[in-house]
Amino acid sequence: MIALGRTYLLATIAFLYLPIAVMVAMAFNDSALYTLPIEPSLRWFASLAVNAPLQLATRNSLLIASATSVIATAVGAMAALALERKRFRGRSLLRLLLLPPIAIPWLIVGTAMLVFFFWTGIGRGIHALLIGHVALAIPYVVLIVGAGLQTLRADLEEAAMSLGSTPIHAFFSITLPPLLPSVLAAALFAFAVSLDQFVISYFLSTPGVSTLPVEIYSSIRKGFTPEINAISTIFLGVSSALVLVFAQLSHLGGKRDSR
Amino acid sequence: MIRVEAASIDKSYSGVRVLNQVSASFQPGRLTSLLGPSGSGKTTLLRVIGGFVAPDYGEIRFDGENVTAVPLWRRNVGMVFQSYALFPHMTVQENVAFGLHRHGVRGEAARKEAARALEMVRLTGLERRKPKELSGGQQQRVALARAIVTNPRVLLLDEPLSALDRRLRQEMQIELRHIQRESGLTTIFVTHDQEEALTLSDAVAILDHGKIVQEGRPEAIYERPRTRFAASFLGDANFFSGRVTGGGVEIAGGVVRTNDRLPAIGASATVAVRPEKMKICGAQAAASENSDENRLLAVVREIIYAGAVSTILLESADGSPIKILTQNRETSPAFPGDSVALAWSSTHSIIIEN
Amino acid sequence: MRSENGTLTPRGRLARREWTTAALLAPAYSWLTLAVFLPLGAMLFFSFLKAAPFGARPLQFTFDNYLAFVRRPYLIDVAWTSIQIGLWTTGLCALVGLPAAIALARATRGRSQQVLFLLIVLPFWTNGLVRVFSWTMVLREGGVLDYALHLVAPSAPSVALLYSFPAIIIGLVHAYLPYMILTCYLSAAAIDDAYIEAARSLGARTPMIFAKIVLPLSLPGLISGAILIFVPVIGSFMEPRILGGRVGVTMGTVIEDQFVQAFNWPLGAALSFTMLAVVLIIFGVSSRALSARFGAQ
Repeated sequence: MIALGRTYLLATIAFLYLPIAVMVAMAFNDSALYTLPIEPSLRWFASLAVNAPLQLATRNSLLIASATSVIATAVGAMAALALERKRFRGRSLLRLLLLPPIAIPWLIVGTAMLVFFFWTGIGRGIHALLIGHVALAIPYVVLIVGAGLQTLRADLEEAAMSLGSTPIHAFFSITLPPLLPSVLAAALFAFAVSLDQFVISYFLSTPGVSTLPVEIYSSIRKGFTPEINAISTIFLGVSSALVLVFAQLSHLGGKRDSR
Repeated sequence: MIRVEAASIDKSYSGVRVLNQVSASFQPGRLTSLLGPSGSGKTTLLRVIGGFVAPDYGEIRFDGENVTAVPLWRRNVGMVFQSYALFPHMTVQENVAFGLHRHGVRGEAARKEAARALEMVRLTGLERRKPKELSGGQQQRVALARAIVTNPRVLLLDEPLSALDRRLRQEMQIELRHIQRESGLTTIFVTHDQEEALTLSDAVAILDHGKIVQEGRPEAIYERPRTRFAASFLGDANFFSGRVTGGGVEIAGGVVRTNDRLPAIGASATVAVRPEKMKICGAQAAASENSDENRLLAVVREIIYAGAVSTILLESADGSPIKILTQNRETSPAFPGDSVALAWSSTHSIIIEN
Repeated sequence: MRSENGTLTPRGRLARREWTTAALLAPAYSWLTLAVFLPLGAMLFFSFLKAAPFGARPLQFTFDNYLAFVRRPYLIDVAWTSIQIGLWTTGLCALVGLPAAIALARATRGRSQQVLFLLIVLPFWTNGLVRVFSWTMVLREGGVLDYALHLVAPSAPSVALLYSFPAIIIGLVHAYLPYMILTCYLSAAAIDDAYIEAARSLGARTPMIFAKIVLPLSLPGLISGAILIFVPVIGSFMEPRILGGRVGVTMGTVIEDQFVQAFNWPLGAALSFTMLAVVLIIFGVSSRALSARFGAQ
């Protein structure tokens, strides 16, 4: 029974990774038509170097993801602090309001942003993408930093203050250091959310200003080229690395027994 | 050594009165226990004194100086938290030196002070450990060292021993008492454990529903509880209710004599008698001429043997339960089903407010 | 209040504390208001308009957009397609994911469990678009599947699944399977070993234990996984477009068309809100059903 379970599990994982492996393999295939068997080549990676639109989109993606990460982490961590540590009326309502950006299908949120931004004159482009991405990342940051705060007892700050720390000093010397891994994890997560975001970017980008996923999508719609495989492979590598670092920081997958 | 006073403290949380006009005085250099059931307001009172929460009304004074508006971080109190609240990312040394640094003591001087405090709690050698590498008892000691190292004006302890197992707790009680005497700090100790309060304290204040119901030396409260609550929360007691007559309080089965001042004749009154003050004498000795002795007939229901002592559960003539405590010096004085007479001196009949 | 009679009262500090709380919360919630709540409000407003209020056109209110399903019968077919896609995807995810989750929770331990867990959630955080794109290379005529089949059976007819209903389902199952495994795993991992030992001590064999203990106790994970999958799947538009081609006309693609191609924003808004209503009803019903069955936790 155990062996059967493990075999099944490995088969499932194979199903999850098979197409991705194929996609990556094709990035190294010389054929422009994905013909098999594979003839190894790096030409598609080389041709990325002269693909200006893809490069621009990549730059935009990284720029927006970095800015989103910084802003969402700062703003979200502040909110998490208030939601976890302060008692006030309406706290549960505010917590509930974090759900819509996560739970409502992106198609709806994205089109709503499009409508509103267009109507109010905010328009589309980098700034609109940033506004949208930060909003999507904030709830995740609040949840991750909030979870970190929960493991920290509130009386640590009180202890520091009873020993002569001002509230600000207590926050920076006592609360922040143990919280740093969660804050870092939240920042990474926000970065990943922004980098991977397609639907909202799709509605908020303009023909001139788009992000990497949007650019990949329009290339796919236009017709396949292994250049997309090459850029996707790089992209995949970056996202996976981010997730692994995040997992390490947040003990994803549970480190139940080790201290 | 500092006298700490709380004057008419009120505190409510979302409409619920947690402290109701509480006034108390804590003697310099003494250890005073705040004893009460959960929800009695004892921890809140401690936190108001320390400056962790602001009272809605009233004053806190240290040696007559009103410190109510002095924020926590300038009040210089040492607090030992129930959870210890050790800083998880700092070593033992850093935890203890934290308060010293905040008070401007640095470098070698701070190291020396910290070492002295750690020696006092017998933790020398563990300076480089992180809190999670210590046992519960050791964490407790670090918390204590951290609280006393800055020589605070008052030492506050919030049920610090409740997380320890029984044996360790008893050991720490003795040590805590020792350290408190040595440091001479005015100390306020919150507990719900009556035994702990009796063992540790120079004085006890019993709280109930946000009010102090009685305060004084432990033996004074034990021997002369003023209310039914104080009598039953600190120690155990048998209660007899009846009407006041010329000789005492008339209850089913006789008149309870007392040396306490009696209310007006005809009024109702309650007498409390501690279980260990009562003893069993033969059933035939029911009528005694000795006017200082109380006599009451009862039937033994159950005997609970506990090594050095036994608890005997009885039933009086009107069916109300009575509990007595006897030392097991000889063979058991009675067996279940026996009809016996209980005797106690009238000095041990305490008239209490109901 | 009594606090006015001169004895010290720290009202000022209290007010400052509330002010701090507000200052901590304001940036995040202002941002969410600007980027999510106001847009949703604006879209609700738009859905009742005859035409988008741009230029000098006067505002004309109408309920027509919400009657689209009555006026345009083809939308009913589209909605049905979306629901079919949702049901197939959710069903297959449950069928594949639940046993995988239980296997992960009960048949692996310690370090290997952590690694396998990470392997399952990792693709979930790689770009969804890239993963859908990957399938085109597997499913197309002359693709990997076709090629592998002909290696085994050279005379077999060629398989070209791309641009078909099954292709959409395969892509979506692949995209959402980690959700199901994750939620079911959380339930299955929480099952106390003592239950299983108790059942074993009462004489239950392994299949019996699976059917009577592990499966029922994993059910909450199954249900929350199903919600987490069904809701975004019926709103999906990128997967049907890429994998379904002309077959892939769904509510998602129709809504997208209203905004990107047809510029009938009021209709798009009304369709979005109809879908949102369905989503909310699903959330409401299932959360009630869950709490009724398993108690408020």
